[in-house]
Amino acid sequence: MALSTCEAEYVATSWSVRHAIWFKNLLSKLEIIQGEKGLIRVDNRSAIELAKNPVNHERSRHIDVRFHFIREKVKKGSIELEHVGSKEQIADIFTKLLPITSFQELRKLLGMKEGKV
Amino acid sequence: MQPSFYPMELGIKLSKYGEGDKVDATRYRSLVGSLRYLTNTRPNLMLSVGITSCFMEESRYSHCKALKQILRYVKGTMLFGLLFTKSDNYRLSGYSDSDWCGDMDDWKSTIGYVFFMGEHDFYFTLKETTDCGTINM
Repeated sequence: MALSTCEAEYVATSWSVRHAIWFKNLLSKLEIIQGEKGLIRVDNRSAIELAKNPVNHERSRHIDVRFHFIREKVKKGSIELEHVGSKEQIADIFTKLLPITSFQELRKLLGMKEGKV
Repeated sequence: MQPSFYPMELGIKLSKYGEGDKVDATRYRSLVGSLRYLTNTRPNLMLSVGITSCFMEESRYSHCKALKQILRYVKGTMLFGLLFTKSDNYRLSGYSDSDWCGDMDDWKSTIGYVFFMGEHDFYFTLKETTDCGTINM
């Protein structure tokens, strides 16, 4: 159970960074990409701040140390974190039940299209 | 069956101790299992299928109703799917998000992330957090 949105987002980012690093290694092995930074978009500014600045305050002190490995990755520059507005946050479609208009909008952004018979 | 335009009603509250009589668990499970296949090409079903799969142990009428809503949505969006086109852009980018998504039974939050290579997404996943890590939903 997460105590704050920031913590929940931070843990989520940590999981996606883990995956991104694996993909990055795989894609460079296949020579599809060369050392470009992997970009991860998060819709929570405090989670991004937490990953960039190694400060421990009231709200983040309890977060498990292993989730802080994203700080290392961000510092080393293999992963870049970027803020994204909730309208363009495609991952919302996986975590929230959305009103029909935003659902359709995100479905489009996800690359889903209607085929023809 | 009437087609529908959304896979799960907004504001729906589902709990393990749901309302209504128990339904045939085997049938419920096999339906959820079949819908899982569809999520490969229809990632927008991930959340709703993930939620319904939490109630496989003791499925009740209210869960069954939610499952039927997904089937109605599939009927309404038969021709939808991921479209991959030719592209020279291979930049790796991802989106990650977490939400509590109304889990009343164990207060876990849901983590979702999707990765794009250029303009096309190629990997998406949904997890539910626990104290000692996460499990796939």
